[in-house]
Amino acid sequence: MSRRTQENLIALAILCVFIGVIVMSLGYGPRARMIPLPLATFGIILIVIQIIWQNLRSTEELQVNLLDVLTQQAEKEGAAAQGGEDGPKRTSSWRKEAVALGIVAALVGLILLVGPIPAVFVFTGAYFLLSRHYSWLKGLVYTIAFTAAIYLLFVVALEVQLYHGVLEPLVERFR
Amino acid sequence: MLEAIASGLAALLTPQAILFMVIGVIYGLIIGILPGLGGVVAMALLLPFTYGFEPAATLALLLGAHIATVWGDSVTSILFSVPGSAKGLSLCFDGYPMTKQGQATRALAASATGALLGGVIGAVFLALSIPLIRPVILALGPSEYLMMALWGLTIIATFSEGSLIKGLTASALGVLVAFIGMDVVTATPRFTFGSEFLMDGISFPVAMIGLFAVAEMMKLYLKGTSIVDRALIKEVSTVWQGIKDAFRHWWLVVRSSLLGLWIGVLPGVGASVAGLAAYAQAMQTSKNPERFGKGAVEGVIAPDATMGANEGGGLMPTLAFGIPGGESMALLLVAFIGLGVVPGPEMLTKNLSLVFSMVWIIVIANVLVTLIGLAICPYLARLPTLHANLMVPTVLSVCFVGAFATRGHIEDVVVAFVFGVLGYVMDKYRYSRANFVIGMVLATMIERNLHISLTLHGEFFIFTRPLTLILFIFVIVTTALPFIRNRRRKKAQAAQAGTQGGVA
Repeated sequence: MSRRTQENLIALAILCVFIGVIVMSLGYGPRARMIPLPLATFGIILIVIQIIWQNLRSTEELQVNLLDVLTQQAEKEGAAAQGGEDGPKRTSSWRKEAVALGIVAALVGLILLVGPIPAVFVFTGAYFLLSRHYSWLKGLVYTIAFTAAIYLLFVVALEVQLYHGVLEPLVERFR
Repeated sequence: MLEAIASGLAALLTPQAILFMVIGVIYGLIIGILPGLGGVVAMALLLPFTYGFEPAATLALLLGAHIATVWGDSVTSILFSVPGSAKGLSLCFDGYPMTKQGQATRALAASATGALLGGVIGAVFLALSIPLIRPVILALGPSEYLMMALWGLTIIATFSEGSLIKGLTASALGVLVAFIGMDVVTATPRFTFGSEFLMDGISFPVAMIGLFAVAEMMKLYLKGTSIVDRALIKEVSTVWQGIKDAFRHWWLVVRSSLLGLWIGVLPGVGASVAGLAAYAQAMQTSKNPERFGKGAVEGVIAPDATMGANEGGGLMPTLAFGIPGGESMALLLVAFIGLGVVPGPEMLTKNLSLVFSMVWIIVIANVLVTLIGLAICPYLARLPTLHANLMVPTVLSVCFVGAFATRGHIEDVVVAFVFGVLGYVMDKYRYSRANFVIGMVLATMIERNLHISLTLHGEFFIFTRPLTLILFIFVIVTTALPFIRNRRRKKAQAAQAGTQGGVA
């Protein structure tokens, strides 16, 4: 997908948000919608200008790949990456982004399922194991030490009442 | 007054008060570094332990912890671009680039020294202005607060990263997100989709954790190495450089401190606005504004000096009127009640020595924080060299547990995730996250004060209240100034290029 298409999709998503805000605001009283309604209208004007503007600009001006920026390779590979073609690098960038999103979603999912402390243990241990950055033994030691630190800090010191996860009733049944 | 100053200090020189302050400062530093947990959480957790002790010792514990969280917040902003709370946001803009350039030690030392100088200047001015500040606060009404909130919005142009339209869009989105929940004026549930959880609104620290911390960890995973690769970028800076920087920019420190003190004095404005306003004024008054955002040390010193001074300012309305300047000051009021102290005008007459004890606590706690900070700077500067495979799982875990701990709602974990994805997308497509946060911070203040101003003074309140009109003109001038300067600079550059071309 070209950079221009990506930018347009993001702008359209924002446009939908502003339209949604206007539709919902119409259901509120005059005082409750006093700021949201004109603000969303202003937002629509802004995003429409943005859409027009970004479609009139040359592709090169929009060509900014985050991975390139992060790895500081934009200058070297900028020329090759221009033009909106879907080369192998961009495909891998998309894949890596999806994996990054998946990692965060996995942690959130684990927290919802089993609660924060077991989730931290499982997530950190699995991450160390799969990344192969440390030997399994070192990874396990780090995981135990880190989980214990989190437990001591949040549960013991800060007395945070922990959530036990949606699986807790199941565990209770087998007790 | 001199007697009150002396007795205020004497009350703090007991072993109990000294011990309490040291404990408070170390505890505050740890809490400040944890994402999502700031001064409010630090003070709230300490409150149950404060009953039955001497007032000065109790206040040393509470205020010491609160002051230490300010620098704790700055640490993660500078090292990882992960603000511990909204206050630390402004430190990300130049602190993080400095870290990436191998100047983390310098940035941390400049930040600690800036906070110390700001704290001391704030405390001194607080002590001097105690008799004067009362009429000033009473002269300001909701319409003036509205103008000051609007002035806060003018800094959006500063953070628009090349596209003003995208910057404005981001701030409009931020304002709308802040409206999620029960409307404070009409009690109408807005944009809640029938969710009971959303009635409370989006928690600010949770949104910050997502927008910055989670998004930054996603970026670090994509990068695949450490934030700073020591094989490529050596740590070239020293603690001494940072200290010298803070003193070399003494005028910036003084200006920022007075700004922080002033914003602190205004009830309900808060340190997050102060930090952003300080950054904007440092940039707007700099001879080389183009260096900002790329690792300018002034961009670190100014917000820290402001936030250091802000704590002293926040005490003023709390002590003088019993009106808390922010959430943490509200907790301080609770502590006062526990101690049998009644805040109000009498505080400045009958309990003046206790007021000066607090001024001394601000000074001493700031000195302690800075000494500890300067000692640990070189060690903290090594943290960004840790590999992504260690950083990503640990920081993400702390962030999500921190998001949950903020209010004890599991839904906040989901909110942090949603904001994490949003932050990543915004960063990738250059919709300024800073502007989004500014919008969120100022939205409620603008709406509440607009409604009150309309009710109290009618539709034309801007023109019927002279002070409001003056502030309104000030807002217009400060909004236009950066654009005029930018135009002049471009013209000068074009003329210079033309001259050089002619010579060649």
